[in-house]
Formats: sequence, structure tokens, C-alpha cells
Amino acid sequence: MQMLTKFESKSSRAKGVAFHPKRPWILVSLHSSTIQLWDYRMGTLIDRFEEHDGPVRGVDFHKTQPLFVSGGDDYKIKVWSLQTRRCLFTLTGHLDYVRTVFFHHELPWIISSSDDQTIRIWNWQNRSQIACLTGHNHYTMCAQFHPKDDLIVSASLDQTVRVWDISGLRKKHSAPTTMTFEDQISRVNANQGDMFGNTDAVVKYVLEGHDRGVNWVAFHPTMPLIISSSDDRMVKLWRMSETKAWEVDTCRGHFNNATCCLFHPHQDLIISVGEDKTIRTWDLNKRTSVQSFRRESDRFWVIAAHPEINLFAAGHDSGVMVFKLERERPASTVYQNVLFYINKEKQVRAYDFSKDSESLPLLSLKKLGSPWTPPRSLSYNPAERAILVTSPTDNGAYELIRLPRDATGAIEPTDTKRGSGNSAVFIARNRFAVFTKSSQSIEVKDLSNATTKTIRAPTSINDIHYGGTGCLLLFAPSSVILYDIHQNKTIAELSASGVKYAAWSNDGMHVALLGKHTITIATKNLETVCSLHETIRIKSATWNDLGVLIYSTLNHIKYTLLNGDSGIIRTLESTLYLANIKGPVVYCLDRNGKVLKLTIDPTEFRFKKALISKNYDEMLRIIKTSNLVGQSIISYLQKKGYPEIALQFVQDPQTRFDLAIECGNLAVADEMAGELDRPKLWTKLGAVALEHGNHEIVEKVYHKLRNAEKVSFLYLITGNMSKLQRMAAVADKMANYTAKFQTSLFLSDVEARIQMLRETDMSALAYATAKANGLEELAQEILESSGIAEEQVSLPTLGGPLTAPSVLHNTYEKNLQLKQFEPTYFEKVLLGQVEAMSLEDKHAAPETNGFGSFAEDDLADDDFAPKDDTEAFEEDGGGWDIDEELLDVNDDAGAEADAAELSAAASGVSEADLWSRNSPVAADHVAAGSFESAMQLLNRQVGIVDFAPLKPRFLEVYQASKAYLPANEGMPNVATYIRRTKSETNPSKILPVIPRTLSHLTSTDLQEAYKLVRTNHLDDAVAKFRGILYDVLVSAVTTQAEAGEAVQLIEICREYILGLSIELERRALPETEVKRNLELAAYFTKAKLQPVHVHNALQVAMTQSFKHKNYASASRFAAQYLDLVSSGPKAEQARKVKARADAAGSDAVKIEYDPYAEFDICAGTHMPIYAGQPFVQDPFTKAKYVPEYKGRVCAISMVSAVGAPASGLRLLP
Amino acid sequence: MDPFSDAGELFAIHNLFYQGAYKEVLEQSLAGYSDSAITQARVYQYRAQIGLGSAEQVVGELDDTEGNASLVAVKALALYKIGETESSLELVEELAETASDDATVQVLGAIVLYLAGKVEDALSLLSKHEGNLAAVALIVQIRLLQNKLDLASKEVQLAKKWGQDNLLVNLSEAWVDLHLGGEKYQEAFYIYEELAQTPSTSNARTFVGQAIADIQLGRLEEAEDAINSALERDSTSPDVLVNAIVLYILLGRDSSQYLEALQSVDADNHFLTDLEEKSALFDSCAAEYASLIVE
Repeated sequence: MQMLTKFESKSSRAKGVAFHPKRPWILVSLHSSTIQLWDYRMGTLIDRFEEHDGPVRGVDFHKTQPLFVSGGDDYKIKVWSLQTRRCLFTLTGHLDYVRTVFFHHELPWIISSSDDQTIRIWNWQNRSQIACLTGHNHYTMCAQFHPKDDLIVSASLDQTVRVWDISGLRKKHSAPTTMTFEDQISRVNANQGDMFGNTDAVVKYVLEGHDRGVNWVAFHPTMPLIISSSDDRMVKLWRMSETKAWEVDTCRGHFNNATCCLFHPHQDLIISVGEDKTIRTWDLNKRTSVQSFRRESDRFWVIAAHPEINLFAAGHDSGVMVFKLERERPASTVYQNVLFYINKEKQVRAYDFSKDSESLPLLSLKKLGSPWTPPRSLSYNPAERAILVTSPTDNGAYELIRLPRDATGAIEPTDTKRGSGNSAVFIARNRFAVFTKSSQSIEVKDLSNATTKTIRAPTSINDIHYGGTGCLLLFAPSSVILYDIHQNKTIAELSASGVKYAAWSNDGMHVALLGKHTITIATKNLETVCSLHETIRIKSATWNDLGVLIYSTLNHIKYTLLNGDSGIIRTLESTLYLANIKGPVVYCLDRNGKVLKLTIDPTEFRFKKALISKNYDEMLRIIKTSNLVGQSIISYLQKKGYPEIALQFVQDPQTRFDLAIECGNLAVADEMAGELDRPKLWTKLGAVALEHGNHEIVEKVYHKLRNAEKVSFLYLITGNMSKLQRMAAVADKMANYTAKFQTSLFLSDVEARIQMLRETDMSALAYATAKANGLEELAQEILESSGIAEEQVSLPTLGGPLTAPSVLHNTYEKNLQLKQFEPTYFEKVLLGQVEAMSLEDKHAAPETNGFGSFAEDDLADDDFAPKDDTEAFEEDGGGWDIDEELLDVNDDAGAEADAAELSAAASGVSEADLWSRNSPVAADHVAAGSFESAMQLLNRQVGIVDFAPLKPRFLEVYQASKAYLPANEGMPNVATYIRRTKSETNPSKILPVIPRTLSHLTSTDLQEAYKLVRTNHLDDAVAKFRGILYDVLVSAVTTQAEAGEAVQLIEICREYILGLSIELERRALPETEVKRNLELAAYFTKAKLQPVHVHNALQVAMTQSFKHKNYASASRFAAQYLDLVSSGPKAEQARKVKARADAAGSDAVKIEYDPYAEFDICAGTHMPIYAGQPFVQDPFTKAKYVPEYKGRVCAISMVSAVGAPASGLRLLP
Repeated sequence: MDPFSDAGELFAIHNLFYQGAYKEVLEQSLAGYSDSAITQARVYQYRAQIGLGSAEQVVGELDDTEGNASLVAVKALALYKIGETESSLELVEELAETASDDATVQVLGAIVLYLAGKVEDALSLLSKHEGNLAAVALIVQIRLLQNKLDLASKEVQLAKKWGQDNLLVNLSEAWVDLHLGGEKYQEAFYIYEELAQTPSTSNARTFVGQAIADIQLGRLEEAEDAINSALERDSTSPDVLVNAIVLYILLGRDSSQYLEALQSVDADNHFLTDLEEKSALFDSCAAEYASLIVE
């Protein structure tokens, strides 16, 4: 058992202490007359209350009301308000020191005990004393209400403990009810009252047994038990029944006065304190000492238990300490998707995150450590399915236990290996490390628990933790060391003080080191990435898949990114230990060892993470799907330098304007300025727009600001002469002479300038201007009009006429790009500018011969239509053949193997030989390198004669059949044969892996072929389909269904190769061959293609027929097309064709095509084979040919012989 | 103290060598070794040199073998590797007579004998070992090459009893596991993963082992990660390239890049010669059907 101190205060002697039932507060009453209110979680003194004179011995919080009560040596009982932090009132009546005060759990009563030998009960609502219990004949040291019944227990220096019945008091003070006569009689008779006639409270039992004064007494919370402690150094346990009470046992051990005692609220423990400076725990059932904790120099005076949480507070000579007995962190570990943990009942359980299911208990560890001590840590080894559990009992012990294969309940482990050590972790598949703190040694042990190696800790360390395979993290007081076990050396050291736990990220690249108040995130080589500080204690941490650390403090779940950005995710009511996070679900363990699922909102950290990793798609998704608007995110984005993204979140025009200016998005800024229409904003926009060279906006702004001069100048510098003219006209109209003068200067319009000068009676200037520009006549006129002779004018030397430079470039036509404003990818997406689809445009195929690019339907989803399945196996009728062949093959293979064995007598049978023995599938023989038998098989099964095209496939399958394991230097590599029967070890059933499985072919190769068709690369498409045929030919399947799929795949390839060959032939025709052209176009429509490809065939046939005036056919094809496609531009076109063709009526060219007859097309001649006509078939592709093709190589597959005898392709072993 | 044990002075160089970290082996300074261990350390360095393809240089350096049987054995191997098989075999046969109790002689001699096709002689030389794990590992490999899986497996089980957790025992076990299949694939994977993830033992060769285990387990994507890790560490190792080719074929992707790389690095690689043989075999087999082809 351990004592974990959570808080300590320094003060004078603490005589009374009480826990707040809800908040992390304790009241401490001191011998110095002060009452302190502490927050023990934060470690801060909240308030002090100093109204008592002299020591305060008793103090208590009310369970529900914001009240507390205190009693002191000033004989006073004071009731205080927690809200105002003031004394509400004082209860007086005691005639000596008040020892203890307690609230009643439900009634508005306070009980007090005093050195005046009385116990008094007070009503704090009407602030009066309602009972005074006399009987003790020495100081009463303690008096408490029973937690449920109407009983009181009291302790006195008269060496007795008394139990009092106060049911009478309750009756008297409860609301008056109508009483029957009998009730009244019984009431009068029931309590005859004591000798003083007191019927409110009567002594029920007097418990004698202590030899000295009794200091403290307490009821058990649920059982009829009483515990008392006395100056005789004994702690006594008493039991009571309805009628009597007796001493059960005595706990001996204190060697000085036992001052206070209590029952553990949840466990069968007694805790007592004494002036011998010890806190002792006792087993309630055996009354034996469990543990004692000694303090150096402080006598203990009082102890209190928190009503709910596992916390205790003990007052001693120099303050108070808050502690818990035992860690409450359930031992746990996560491996991949499974959490292993040990619950309160000491059962090992597993929780599967992916299934959200909890296993039955796997094991019971009842015998591990002492009954009061939960296991400390758990380490899991997936290779051996074993666990290592450590317990702090007896200075540390570990057990190595194998988990049962199946969870069947809490069974006791049978095969357990034990040893001593403070911590133990698996470091490799078959090794674990055990650290013993006292000797500072790390022992590396194997699974039989034998030590293989002992390492001295390089420095004094407190704990060890898994550090990646073969490595350990050593937690020293002020640093963490990464230590390589194999090489016995320190790889890296990182300074971080007080690290207690470590959490590795899922990819093993980062580790979070948790101290009490700090988290340090480091790489796997212990380079610090970031660290952060928390004022509240950090409890646990886990990583999500994105590399965000989620951690819990006493009262929050928070996150932090690798750059140190952190935030609160949610608050917690009780402490939780995080185990894992999957999407928005956090899995954690509570202190009772139960798995809880909490749903959190991961939006914020996901967004920030996406922002940092520039994952715009993810950001976009989050913005679109989540409600992520808030000042915090906007300011975050701004702070991080992403105003353009922040812009997307903001509605407020002013903010939008500011953000737009910041990121240079003038369009938005302009829009917002227009909305707000304030001169200040316009000015700002104008200045920014000028910097950007966006003179259109500048122009608009100057107009808005009615700044004609600036507008004119802008026109000048952008060379916009026509608008400048207009400005001149406007200036003229408005009689704005300054403007007029200016524009005339800009325009080099001398006359206008002179006119303006004359209008404003500045004849002299007008004259000078005229003169300077050589306008003698005008000058003369001015002279005349002002009545001055030329001689009277004395002019300074005039320069030549100045003209404004002419426009070289019409800048006004287009904005300058002084500053690059490229909308980010992100903005573009938001604005919907990124092409989401239309691959069509990119792959725009050349329009050849009326064969347009195909429709954009995504073929990937189209499963090939199920064809007539009977066809698939019709050739299988002759099962005899196949069996015969099977026998042949086996014999062959066997003979070969035998021969091989003879030749190299020392060698065993290679796995490749086994493969060809085990399978009648050609591909398996190919993989085994037995090409000869493979070819035989293919020839017999599907009549393959020309193998050359199959060579790449053969070599590919062969190459993929083995991996090459480098072993001893100087020796050749060992080939390891790769199997598709992964879990098979029976040599007669193993079979090789065949690359490009059927599903790979349909999901990848077939789609690529379709794409080639779609993009009109027909030659390539034919080659691709043929490649698929070869791949299927040399492949293997595992189920009957797959075999059916293979047949379908062959059919698809056949139809496409046939159809596309027809179309290719048509395209290669010279212009003159109209009839053949039309026939082939018609046949193409008969190929069984994907619907979208049939559309193309019909379109081709329709346009070709129409073009060559075969209107009846054109109409028919158009009708067929419209049956399939009823809307869209192409349907529209078909409709037009149909209308016009119908009007025209007949066919101009007779072709060999009967649209209403059933026929197949000969793959060789591309001519129809009508039903009933003779034909031969290709055994592999099942393509039909006219009889003269018998024996020739199939035009579709190019490898099989048409009409060859064949047993059918066998792909299923 | 056993010099190969965890704390022994040869432990580090021994492990580096058997993980295939030849460059690191050569970087080890010989200064710190005791007289009893220095020869063995030198043997590792020479073998590493041979492993890196510098057999010629080793022959040159070992002009004078100082009468040391171990060094003679190294020289024999180096001679064999540069094609002087006759003189190499002479040396080995002499050593087998005179110094067959020398651990190095056992191992290197057996390699030469195996390469020369004298498999039984190789095994009988190896059978003289007393607690030589290197010999065990070699026996296991020869048994595997002979397709005698049961004997290889037995050898490993025996070695496990006394060889503890030595790297060589682990590796041998992994080799056998990869042939046994079924659940053993996963065990082999654990062994290689452990080696590949431990910084001190992580190198191209261990990643290749991990990749092969992944391939056997059908986890091709993980295998690709491992192969890429191996390529990062050594993109010219034939061992890596060969398995990269196999993997990319299995993935249904283009493997020609690695095939070309292999051709340029090691044109005589067994994989390539085997492929040529098979290609010729294909042609000759296909030719038998040529008469049936009617265009």
C-alpha cells in the first residue's frame, strides 16, 4: 500500500479538518485560532477566517448548503457562509472548549461536544439549541450523528463510548402530524425518559473497554460498526445490534495516544492517527495492521475522509496533508486496436476499439500483490500474447503471464513467472526489462524469466518505459534517456524534469513525455519538438491518427499540435485516463477501471492540423461540413498568417474588409467598401489598389471620393485620353477652372487653356500662353480685347511650346500586376473555380471519322453485366477429359520430381515441385517454372498454340513466385517461395501466389482499358484487352464464383476486341468503300459493350448512315440511341437526325445487315453468321468464326487455335 | 567470457556483420581489441570487404597469412570469389585436414566447398563445430538450399536451446519460418521487424527481411514501405533490388526500373541468369507448338 501525497500545507497545529463534498476544498482549523480554506488541487489558500478567540478544534462543511460550522476554545460555535465568507451567526451555550462540531446529513441540525461534559444539538435554521445531552462525566471529545439512523455516538475522557437514541428529538422537531390516541399513548409510554425526565435523547449503550480517555469515535457508513481511538493507544472496533453493543476487537500498534480514527468509505479498512506521528491502516475484517506511515516530527491530531473520492486529510503539528491510499490509475496498455486493462476487481480485460466490444475477463490477478494494492503497470507482448504486470507490493514485484487464447472468464493464471522489481516492460518479442530502483539495475530477461543481461542505470533513474524496439526510455529526475539495450549505450538524452509517463504516437515517430505539469513532445530520437506547461496536473495522453496529441488533466481533455498550438476540447467531471482516440470518440478508463466512450468535437484541432499541414481538401471539407465559425478561429488564422482563409469565415463587412485588404483580395475589399461606403475605407482601398496597380478600382475610388484632380491624373498616367477629354468637359461644365486648367495641361490643349485664362480675366497669362505656343492670331486678339498694344507688353524669354508626351501604351485597358494576387488553391476551391470533373476536356480526343469522344460516365462503378452463366460451363460437360488430364499432369510432375530427386540425391523436394504436383492450373505450373507442363495444360485446355505473346506473362508469374532472402555472407540467397495459401502448411495443399489477381484485373486493368476506349485510343485499347486475356489465361482463382467472374471477364474482352477491331477496320477503309463502311458501322453496334460505349457505336452508325443517305438506317440507329439516351445535347442531335431521316425515308446503299435477325459476327471476316449457319468456335475466347477459319490462330486472342479440341480453361485448383 | 556474448568485445562487430552492415563493420576500429579477439575482428572486416565486392583487394592484403588458419580460410574464400577456384579449393582441403577445429575455417571452408558443389564435404566440415553459431546458421542455410526444411528446422531448434537469443539463432529461425509458412510467417515478421526497428540493427538487409515477411503475409503495402526503407539505405544492393522487382510485380506495377538497376549493378546476379534460362526454356518449349500455328 502506498501513500500518495497530493497536497501539504504549512501552518501551526491543525486540530480540525473537513472536505467539501463537491469542490476541491478543505477547511483546516488551527490551534492559532485561524480557519483556513484551501483548494487542495491548485494548492492555493482561498480564504482565512479569524473570528474565534483561541484554538479552533472542530470544523465541518454542510453537505448541500454553502455553509460551514466551527467550534473553538472560546466556547462558541460559529456558522459561516461560503458565499459571503462571513460568519452568519454564533451559537452560544457551551460552558467550556468546544471539541467537535458536525452537521446532520439531512436535518438542519448541528451536533457539538464540549469539555463541559455535554453534547448539544442545535437547529441552525432558527439558531437555537434543541437538546443538551448529559451523562458523560468527563470532557466529551467527540460526538457524531449516525449517517442514516437517529443515533449519536460520543466519546469522552471518562473512558466510555456512548450511543444515544435521538428518535424522540426527531419526532418532536419534525412537522406536527395528526396523531391517533394510541400513538400519543405509546409516545408517552415509549420513552420513559432518563432520571432527569429527558425523553429527547436517551443513552442506548455505554461501551466500556478503553483504559484511558477516548479521543474519537465514528460510525461505519453502512454497517452497524463503531470505531474509537483512545489515549490507551488502542483503536477499538465495536458492533451493535438492535438490543446490545459489544466490543469486537482491538487494533494495537500505536505507541502513543491514538487521537483520531475512521472507516475507509469504500474499502474494508480502518485508518487511525496518533501522537506517535503515524498514520496506520488496518484490515477491518482481520484487525491486523496493513501499513503504517510515519512522519518525522509531527504528531497527528485529526483525520477526515472525502465522502466520495479516494482522498484523506490529516492534521498534524505543522499543517495538514491531503493524500490518497493507492494509485487509482488502472494499469492498462494499448496494442493496435485493443486496450488491455486491469479493473477494480483485478481482472485483466480487453477492449476492442474497432468493434467497440469488451471481452469477458481474461484472467483474475487476485493473488497478485496485496489485496489493497492494485497492479501498477501492464505491458503486452503480441507475439507471445503475454502480459507483464507490476505491483508495488513488497517493494515491487512483477508477474509474467500468458493470456488465454479465448476469454472465458476470470480464471486464475496457471503458468505465472514472478520476480521482484519496480517496473517491467517488454522490449522485444522475447525479452523484457525489469528495473529495480533500490539497486538501480535493469535486468533483461527472456520469457523463461532467466536474466540474460544486467545493466547498471547510467544515472540515477526513477522508472523505465518502452523506448521503441530494443530501447528503453529511462526517466531520471531531470532528464529522459533513450537507452539501447543491445549496445549498452545512451543514444540520446533530453532534459525534462519529473517525467512520469510516456505516450508513443501511432506511427512511432513521436513520444509525449508527461510530467506532473509539463508535456514534452519529442521525436523518436528524443529531439524536443515542443513542450507545454499546465497548471492543473496532467494525467494521461494519447495520439490520434493525424499526429495530434490528446491529453487529459484532472478536469479537462485538451489537444496539442506538434507546433505547440493547444486548446481545450472539453471539461471533465472526474479524472479519466485516455486510452485511445478514433475519430470523434475518445476511449478512456475511469478510476473504477471501466472503459468509457466520450464523443468530442475534433473539428478545431483537425482544422488547425489541416492548416499547418496545408491539407486544403481537408480544410475545405471541415468548413463545408462543420460549424466552425468563431472569433477564436478567425484570430487564430489571422495570427498564423492566413487572412485569406479567415476571410472565408467572416460575415461582418468591416472585418471582411480588413481581412481582404490584408490578404490583397481587392475584389472582396471593393465589395465590402461598397457595402459600408465610408470615405476612410475608400481612401484605404484606393491606396492599396494603387500599390497593386489595379487602376480600375483606383478610378472607382477617386470617383467615389469626388476627387476630380486625382481622377484626371490617373487618366493621364494610364493614357486614357478619351476619359481625360470627358473630364475636361465636366470641368468646363462645372466651371471648375483649376480642374479645367489642369486637364488642359494634361491634354496639351493650348486653346482650351487660353480660353480658360481669358474667362478668368487673366489676359496676361492667356497672352503669354498664346505667344509661347506660337498662336500669334490669338495673341493679337487677346491684346485687342484688352486694349493693349503689343509694345506695351514686355514678356520674359519664352521657351518653346511644351506638349504632354504622347501615349505609348494604353495602360488603362488592363490592370497592372504590381503585386501578385493569386487566389490560393483553397480560395479557388471555395469559389468553385477548380474543375471538379470534366476529365473529358483534358483528354479531348481527336475527332476521327465521326467517332466522337465518349460520354463521361464513370465506368469504374459499372460492374460488368452478368451474362448467361450456362455458357460459362457448357464446355465443362466433358469432365472426363479434364480428369484424365489431371492424372496425366500429376504423373508427369511426379516423374519429373522423381528424376530430380535421383539426380541430386541429397536435395529435398523444392516447393516449386510441390506446386506443380498440387495443381492442375497452368498458372501454378508457370510459377513453379515448369513451363513445359504449363504449355501442355494450356494447349489441352484451351488450344493455345502460339505461346510467344504469353511470354511476358509467363516470366512475370515466374519472377513473382519467390523472394530472395539474403542469409550468410558469401552464400547464394535462399529463395523463399511465396504462397497464395497463406495459412496453409500442409505440403500437399500449398500453392503459389499469382500476381494480378482477378480482382486486380477488373478493378485496375479493365478500367484502364475502358478509359482507352473512352479517350478513343482504340489500338491501345485492343492491346490492353488482349493483355487482360493473357493475364486471365495464366491465373488462378480460389472460388467457384471467381471462376465464373473469370469467364465473364474473358467475354468482355472478347466483345471489346471484336467490336473495336470492326471499328478500326472501318476507319482504315478508303473513302470509296461506302457499303463496307456502313456495314461495319452497323456490326459495331452489335458488339456487347458497356452501355456508354454502345452509345458511341450507335452514334457512329447513325452519323455514317445519315451522311451516306441511308436514311432508313439512320433513323433506326437514332431510334435505338434515343431508347438508351433520352436527354442531353447528343439526344437532341439524334432526334434531329431521326426527324430528317424519317422525312427522307429510304436507304441509298444496300448493305449486308438485317437489323431484325439474330446473328453473330465472324471474328475473322467481320461478316455476320446468322443463326443456323455453320460456324467454328475458338476454345479460349469462344469467339465464332466461319468454318474456313478452323485451325487458324484466333484473331481475338492471337494465341489459341480456332476449333481446336479443348477441355476448357481450368483456373480453380 | 564468451567473446560473442552481449558484453563481449566482439559482440558489436559480430552483430553488425550478420545484419549485413558491411560498411559499418569496416568503419570499426581494430585498436581496442584484445589479442585473442583481433584475428576474429579482422576476419569480419575481410568478409565484409568481400561482401562489398572487393575480394581482389582482400587477396592482395592477405598475401601473407601469417600462418593463421582463419586468415587462410578468408583468403580461400576471396580467391574463390575472384574465380581462382582451383587454388581456393586446394587451400580449403588443406585446412580441412589441418585446422578443422577452427571456427572460421569451418564456416569459410564450408562456403567454398558449397560454392564448388561439394555440399556433403561442406556439411561434414561444418559438423565438426562445437558451439559455433555461425556454423549452425550456415548449416541451416545449406539445408534450406537443399530443400531439407525438416533438417533445417531441427538444427534451429537445437541451437535455440544453447544459443539463447543470439542474433544468428534469431535470423536462422526467421529463415526457416519463412519456409514453413502459416503462423510462422508472423513470427518471422516479428523477428525482422524487431531488428529493423532497433536503431542499432536497422539496415537495408533487415528491411529486406521484413519486406519478405510482409510479402509472405500478403501485406503488400507494408512490404512496399519496408522495401522503400531498404532502398533508402542502400539503393544499389542486389539483394534489395531483386526483392523490389518481385514486390512490384506482385503489386501489378512496373518493375523495370529495378530490373535495369540490377542489371547495371550485378549483371551476373542469379536472378538475372535464372530469368534468362527461363526465357530460353520458354522459347524452346513454345517452339514445339510452332508447327500448329496457322495464320
